[in-house]
Amino acid sequence: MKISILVFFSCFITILTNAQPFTLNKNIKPVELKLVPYKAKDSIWNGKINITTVAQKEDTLYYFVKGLSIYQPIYISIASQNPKHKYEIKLCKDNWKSADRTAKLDAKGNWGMQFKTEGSFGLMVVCKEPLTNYKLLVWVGKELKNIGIPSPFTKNKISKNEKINNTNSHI
Amino acid sequence: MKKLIILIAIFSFTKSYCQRGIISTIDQARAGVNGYLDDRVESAQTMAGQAYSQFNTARGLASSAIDFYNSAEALSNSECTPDFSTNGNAVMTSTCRESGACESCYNDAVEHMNTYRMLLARLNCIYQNTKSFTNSAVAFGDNVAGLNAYTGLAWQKQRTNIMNSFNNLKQTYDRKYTEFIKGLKDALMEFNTCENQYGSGDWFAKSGFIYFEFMKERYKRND
Repeated sequence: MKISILVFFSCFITILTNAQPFTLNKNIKPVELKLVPYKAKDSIWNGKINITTVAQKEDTLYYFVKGLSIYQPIYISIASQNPKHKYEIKLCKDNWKSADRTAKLDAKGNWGMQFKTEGSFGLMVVCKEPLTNYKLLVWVGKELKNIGIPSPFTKNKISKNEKINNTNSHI
Repeated sequence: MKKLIILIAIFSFTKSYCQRGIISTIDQARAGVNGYLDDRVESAQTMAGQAYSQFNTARGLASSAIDFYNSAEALSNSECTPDFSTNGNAVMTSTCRESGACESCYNDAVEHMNTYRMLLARLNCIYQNTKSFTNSAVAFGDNVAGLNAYTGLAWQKQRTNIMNSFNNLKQTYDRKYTEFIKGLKDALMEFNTCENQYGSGDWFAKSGFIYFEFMKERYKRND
């Protein structure tokens, strides 16, 4: 008990600066999905991407992505090569126990979702089959400089007379 | 009979073990000198197959990456997301906005102003998210540490480290806040120059100042 508490607190300090959902379970070893540059045919979709081919034999695999800005669009998708297999997909922010989003594959064995987040996120893929194969894609767009934020200006313009007076006063 | 049962048990275990395996294969695409992702959309498509088609479908529904971004929600419901709303009393007036002569001047100033608005909003969210995470973790640690004296002592040491780490974040926040607020004021003064030249004189004192004070107050750390 003493040791586990100490391990927990050490881990916690790490999590303050490290980027993946927290866990006390030593058996959970999340794999980082490393993003590499991606140049699309249309440059507005340039960004970074990760494509991973998985042959999953464990019940659950854990992944994480880090280095994200709240101003980047994110898309994640899974395409199973075994559409009849049942998957439970969980997206987690702070810890693996309380998922922020959960999903299942559609009838064709596909799933996709777009979202935004700051820092990092975790992905759990649960499948009870002895072996299941799938492709996993994570795309992160460029950090957007113009996201169409609301203007802090009123739509009412200053009257023409005031404008003329002000202009004259500067002449 | 006993031997037979043991043999069956061993056989069942071995069969299950072999069928199931213990290690999954996780093969990530790489980008290197001859990496297939850089500039090679087709190879990414081939590699990811249906997962890439899903991505194509999703982005096909959006007219741009900005549209794609704006239609996405934050991953966590409790996560801070940038708030760009402006108090009704702090909205600014402008004569320059739709005047052709000063449009370029105005656009540059607005671009600079929005850059600092986005930076301040992001800084605030990083701080709020970390604060909330730290508070809940410290509360949890305090509860667990009450179990016995030894863990209590160990926790106190770790708790100090955690709080020091968070205090460092506070200092970083304050430093960045000062930097970004100054940047915002500089951008507003650019706008003031445009207005003085093409529109309303003394614009900052009449209109920009109230907005600036509103922004200073909104992002000032109050804990």
